Amino acid sequence: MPTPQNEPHQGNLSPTAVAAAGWLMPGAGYWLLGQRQRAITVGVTVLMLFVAGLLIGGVRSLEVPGYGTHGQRTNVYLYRDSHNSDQIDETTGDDLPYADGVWILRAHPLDEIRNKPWSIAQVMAGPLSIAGAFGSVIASEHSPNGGPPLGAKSHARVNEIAVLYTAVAGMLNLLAMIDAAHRAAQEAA
Amino acid sequence: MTFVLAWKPFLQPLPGAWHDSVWPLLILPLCLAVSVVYKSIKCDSMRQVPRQAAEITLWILLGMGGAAVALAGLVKGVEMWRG
Repeated sequence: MPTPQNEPHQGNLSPTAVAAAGWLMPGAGYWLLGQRQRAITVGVTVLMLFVAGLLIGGVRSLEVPGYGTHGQRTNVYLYRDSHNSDQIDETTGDDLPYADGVWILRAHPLDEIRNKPWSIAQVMAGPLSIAGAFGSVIASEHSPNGGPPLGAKSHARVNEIAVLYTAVAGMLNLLAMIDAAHRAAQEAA
Repeated sequence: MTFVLAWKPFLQPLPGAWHDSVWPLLILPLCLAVSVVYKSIKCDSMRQVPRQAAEITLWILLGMGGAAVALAGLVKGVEMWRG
């Protein structure tokens, strides 16, 4: 007789589909395999850890690649060196007096992501992390009348703890996605 | 109490006066979450998870405590050695 944690599922699922489901909703990979208890335990734990991180440090503790401290797109600008007119240099910034800036995620995506390495771990927590990143950009922008941003940026220890919580949540979900995909592959074999 | 009432969750970090005193306790939920997910992956039956997760949480906390004591001892030793 099937137990709730080991119910048979319908048909063979591809490991890729199981991993993708696990990213879309933490724990969903196990759910598709019929392992409901495991799915709920992993999913609830990962989501609670991520939300706890945002509660501790605020949504602005998520650093979003491509966006600056005040929620503006970070652009790359080319300019002619004032000392040597033959040389063209490159600079980045949010609000520089140069025309034709290129968004840094288009010009140097890997460099920008490498500058904010925690975002790689955080995005593994699924769409919630993308919603959080969107919220971080919105909360970082100055209000239209020039007032302070909606959200406050955390610093020092509280920021470290918040980043750690959200990144560990993402890494745990990655672990669960790999395990669920492996179980799907074993069942298919 | 006023600083808690003025706190806007998700938009502001935890109020300083609160987290300054309790921040070491924030290691507990983190260790518990890591243990629960790790044991959910490792154990064949979910019935084993609560006990094994509690066990491994304790070991992590003991390890962290041990590392903290060892590092504090090292710092004191270096301080004494340098006069």
